[in-house]
Amino acid sequence: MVRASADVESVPPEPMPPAVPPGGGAPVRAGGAAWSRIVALVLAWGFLLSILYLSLGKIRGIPAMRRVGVDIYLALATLLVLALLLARWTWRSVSPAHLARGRVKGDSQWAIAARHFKKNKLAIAGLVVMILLYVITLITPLIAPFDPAAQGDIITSRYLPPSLEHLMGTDKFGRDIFSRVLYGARISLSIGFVAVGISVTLGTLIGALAGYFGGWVDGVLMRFTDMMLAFPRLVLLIVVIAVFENQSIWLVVVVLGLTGWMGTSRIVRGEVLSLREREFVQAARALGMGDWRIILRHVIPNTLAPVIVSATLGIGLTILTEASLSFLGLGVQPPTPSWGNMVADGRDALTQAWWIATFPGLAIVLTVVAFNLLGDGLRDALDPRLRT
Amino acid sequence: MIGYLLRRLLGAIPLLLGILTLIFFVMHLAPGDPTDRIFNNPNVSPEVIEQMRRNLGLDKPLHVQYGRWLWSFVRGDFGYSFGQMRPINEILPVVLWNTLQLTLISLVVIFVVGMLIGIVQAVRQYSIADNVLTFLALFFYSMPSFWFALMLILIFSLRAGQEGWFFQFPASGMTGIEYEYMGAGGKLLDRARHLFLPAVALGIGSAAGVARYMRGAMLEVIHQDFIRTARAKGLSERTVIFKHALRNALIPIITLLGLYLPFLLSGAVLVETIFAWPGMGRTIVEAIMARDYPLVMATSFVIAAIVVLGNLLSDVLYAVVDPRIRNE
Amino acid sequence: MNARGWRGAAAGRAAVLALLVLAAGCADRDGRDKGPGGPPGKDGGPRRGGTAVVAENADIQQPFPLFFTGGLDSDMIDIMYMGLTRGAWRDGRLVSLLSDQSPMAMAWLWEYTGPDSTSIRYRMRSALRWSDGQPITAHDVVFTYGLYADSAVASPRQQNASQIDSVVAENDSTVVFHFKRRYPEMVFDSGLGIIPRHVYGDVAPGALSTHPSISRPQNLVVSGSFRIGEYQPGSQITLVPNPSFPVRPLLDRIVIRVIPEPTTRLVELRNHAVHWARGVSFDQIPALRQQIPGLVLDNEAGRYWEYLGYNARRPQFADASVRRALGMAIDVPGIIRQLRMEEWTTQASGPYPPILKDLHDPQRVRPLPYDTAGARRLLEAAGWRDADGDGIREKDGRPFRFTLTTNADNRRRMDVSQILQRMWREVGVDVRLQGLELGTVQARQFGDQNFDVVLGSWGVELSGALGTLFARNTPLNFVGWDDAEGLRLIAQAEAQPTLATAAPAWRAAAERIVQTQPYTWLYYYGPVTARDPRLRGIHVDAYGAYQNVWEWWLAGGGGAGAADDTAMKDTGR
Repeated sequence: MVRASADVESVPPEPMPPAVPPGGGAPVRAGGAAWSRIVALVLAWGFLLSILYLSLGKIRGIPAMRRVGVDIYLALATLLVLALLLARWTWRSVSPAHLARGRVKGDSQWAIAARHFKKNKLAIAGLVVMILLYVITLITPLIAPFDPAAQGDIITSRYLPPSLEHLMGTDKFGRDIFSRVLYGARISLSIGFVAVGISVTLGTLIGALAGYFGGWVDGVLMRFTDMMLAFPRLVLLIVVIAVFENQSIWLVVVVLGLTGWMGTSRIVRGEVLSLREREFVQAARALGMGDWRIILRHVIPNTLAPVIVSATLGIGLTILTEASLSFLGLGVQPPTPSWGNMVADGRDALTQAWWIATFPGLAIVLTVVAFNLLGDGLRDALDPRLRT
Repeated sequence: MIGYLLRRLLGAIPLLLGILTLIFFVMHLAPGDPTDRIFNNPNVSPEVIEQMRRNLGLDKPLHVQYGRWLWSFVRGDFGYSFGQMRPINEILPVVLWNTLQLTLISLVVIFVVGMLIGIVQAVRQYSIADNVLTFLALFFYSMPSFWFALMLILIFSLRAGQEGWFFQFPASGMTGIEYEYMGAGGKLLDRARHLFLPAVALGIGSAAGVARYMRGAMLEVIHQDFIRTARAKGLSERTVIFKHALRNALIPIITLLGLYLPFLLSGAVLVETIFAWPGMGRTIVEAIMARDYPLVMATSFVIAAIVVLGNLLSDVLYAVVDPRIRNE
Repeated sequence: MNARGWRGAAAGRAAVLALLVLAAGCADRDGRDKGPGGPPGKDGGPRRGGTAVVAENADIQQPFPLFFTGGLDSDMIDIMYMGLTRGAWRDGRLVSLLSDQSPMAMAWLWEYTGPDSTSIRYRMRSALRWSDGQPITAHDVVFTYGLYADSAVASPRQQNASQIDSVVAENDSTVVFHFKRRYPEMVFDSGLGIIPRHVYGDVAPGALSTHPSISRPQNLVVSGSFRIGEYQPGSQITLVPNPSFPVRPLLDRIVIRVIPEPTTRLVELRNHAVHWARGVSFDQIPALRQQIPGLVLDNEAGRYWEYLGYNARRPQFADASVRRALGMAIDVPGIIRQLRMEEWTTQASGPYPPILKDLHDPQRVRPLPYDTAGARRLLEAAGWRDADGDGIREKDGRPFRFTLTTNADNRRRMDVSQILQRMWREVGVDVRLQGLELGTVQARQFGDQNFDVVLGSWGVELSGALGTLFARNTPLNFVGWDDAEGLRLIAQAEAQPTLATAAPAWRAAAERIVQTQPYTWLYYYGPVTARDPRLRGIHVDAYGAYQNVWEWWLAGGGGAGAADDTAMKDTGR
């Protein structure tokens, strides 16, 4: 069985491929616990916000930066909700009932994973950074000191080194780098979020279909996956973006999404191949459930663990890839700030004004490191073989 | 084994054809064509451009162009590059060889560095060294590659030259300008000096990936019974690690060899541009930008073929090093 | 530097050289990699030997007189191919040099013949040879012009040959051009690069562009001062002296290295790995000067004008007063200051930059004033008003909103378009920026004309002809300019027999064109090249950067990479 083993074991062309083996963990019951609904809600909300930011970035070429009223209310609401949550959590964790209750609940796969995850300090750090980043994108209009699009006075405010007024200096247009990094976080993180959303959905669907139906469906889908894998992603991206004339941020996002699903689909297929033969799937089939229903309600939920891992790692990779595209002038178009195009723009001035490229570059590093730590932590926690 | 190889090779043909067809049509749907750059010159009349399009066969309908391309492709003739105005069969071997030098060397860098780090991490699991190395590897992996490459140039080429460090690496090109007047040793040294920075820039991110695999594989092996037995026999730790553990941990790592190729080829696009390395990555990007269809098709084919061969290689290597698989 | 200037000095040094060649001969041959073998010139004057290294941003494509279309190719033609006369830039005019003024010219005399002076007779130097040793004769000229005119060859220079009725070789060294009519550029059109008949005589015209000598340019048989000795595609072009050239070049080699990334190019200059970095962006220069004291900046004069081209076929831009208003909303001096281009650019007023002395007319053609109030007034008068108070003007319910397209690989243009976006915004016009790659921009601009406004530039014809850009319904007239009065003036200029008599008509045409504002002229500029002070003898002007390579020489240390040289210390800032 060389062939199959190569399929399952081989990694997506990313350098940090998830290697979660098939069939890890006990089956998840459809529906699941209440918190999974919350996660779904948060994800959906995040998706909506990302799309909002990306659209704001597009409107009339003035990037997500005009201090729109809605934006500030949104930021205030976020702060309020966060404060409430924090207060409630503190209150509850010191309440005697909580302290006395201890750990009595039954262990689901997720609960075990959560326990393992909590032990991993680096992963927790990654999680904290990630949450912080997303919170920052929400309250950006409150903390950004300047309008990131406002070009300062020509002579007096360009190429200013970092100072108290301009924490990260200014660029050649006299724009405040700190504010641009903050607003760039919206764009970059949103791109990562939406693109990975697309690729993970697509990958899961294709992998599940291929694994579940097998036969010629599997053959066709997996040959297609092989085909897409047999080509370096960056080259594929360049062809498509150059061809379809980079007109909007959406093209970049969608193409990033459409070229990133192959790894996920292979992993999911491997999982599904083994799930297909498991009792609960057989039972569902015996009960006369339709194929689609089985796939959506029983198969896919049970493949989520590795999918989450690859999604987490994928966000970091997507941000890096957008930066590479920006280097070639094919990424997000100025004046919309994305971290990638800020680094690419500042590279000319590396020797005379190092701060222009360095701070957005560090933002990318921080983010990608955080997502990778988180992803690795999740993988360790979710894969029973890796638990020690 | 040979039957299996043949089957895999045959299976790769439709795969390659599929991706090439896809790229052909995507490219040709693009606005603009190779004659555009001629518009730059005010002296060119529209009739001349029409004539040129006729000479290049661009006036034919798309399916005819596809058929003609496919037919010459099957005969091993990649056609003529509009952009470089040379037969592609002359361009390809040169750029391919240039890129292979770079990728193979950086593959070596990746695996040597990655494995060493991975071993250190595994042997000293949870130590400070382990954590620092994990973090460092992640840090380098997380840098945008072109930014990292520029930093390398600014530090190891510019800065090193200014401060008079005992080593300084050239920032661009494959050989120095005095190359042809050098002796054999000098030539080798010259090439190595020019290779160093691009190979590091290309390899460092992937090395981080290899390191983590190596760490995982080593840990898994170290906790197995035969290692405990070896230690119990009184073998030195060095023998245990390098002779017994390493050999077994290598199996999963070897399979990675082929799988890193597409990643390296992607990275080569940026690295070759920055270091002025006349290789495949730069060629394909320039060809895409110039709408040089035949050259895009030819380079795409070569890249896809390398990737497919890389995958095949890793499967074969896997079978070679792991007797359990060979016997099946 | 005048070509005659140092040639006198060179003759004076010949005797010294002859003495030293004997002694230096051996060392010269096997010690080449140690640097220049030649003796130092007296008083720091030109000296022989050495390798000059040039960094270019793109490779050659077809360095062949019949096919080159621009970029490095045209520079290579300047180096490698002689014409009957040699174009040059003297005192703000394009002139044709004869062989007593430039060794790159084949003819020592030209004269008008025929009853109405529609023919030109050229007398060629004797003893001219191709790089393979074959003699250069009048038959090569006849043969080459036959190819220029042949539509099967599809030469981009076919236009230049279109007014030539016939070319006749009276004997081996006399050739006569018969023109269909008299026109100002006759001498220039008969001075194109000549190719050897004994190499290409048997090649079918349609197969010429794929001739093996072009794909392997080290095989080109040339007449100019250098030929390509070695070619590594995408990486390095090594030029070596052509032994048949009448003048022996001072340098042993010129190595042209292709370095696409600007940052790397400048690092190599600071590393002393190259002597001459071309295509330096203007806003890098102040820092570069600090970093490299003694740096020389060669400016290819202001031959180019950066423009905003409006698509007049679109209703928004059909009205000249709207185009004028958009131009008046732009603070061009402000842009120039902000991008630190003061030294290299001047605000543009029309199609003729100041370097064209006879044609630039600062009295009658002036730059648009920066006048936002005036711009607003013009827009209001044209019916664009901000009725709903959102800051954007509307007319008939449609907001004034359009796309500004430019090529994304040009950083300066991307920067300018970001500033323009802000400035137009102030007068209530909303612009979306679109950075595309050059091929796509050109396809939209010249092909399907699917654009609103393009930010680009034209290199002006040194002869001053405007007919290529401003003619009815040609692709290059992408702005859709169509003005009866202007066309009449252009036709009038084109009918003049000489450049001098055509100049007043061209000036009138330019004035008319500026009145109609098909473009907004932003600024005149020319590419700037940063040079290590050791590389000398270079003459750069509007005509080009490689026009006198045989006079280039290296002072001080050895070839590139001589980091011990103290002539240029890098302060590292």
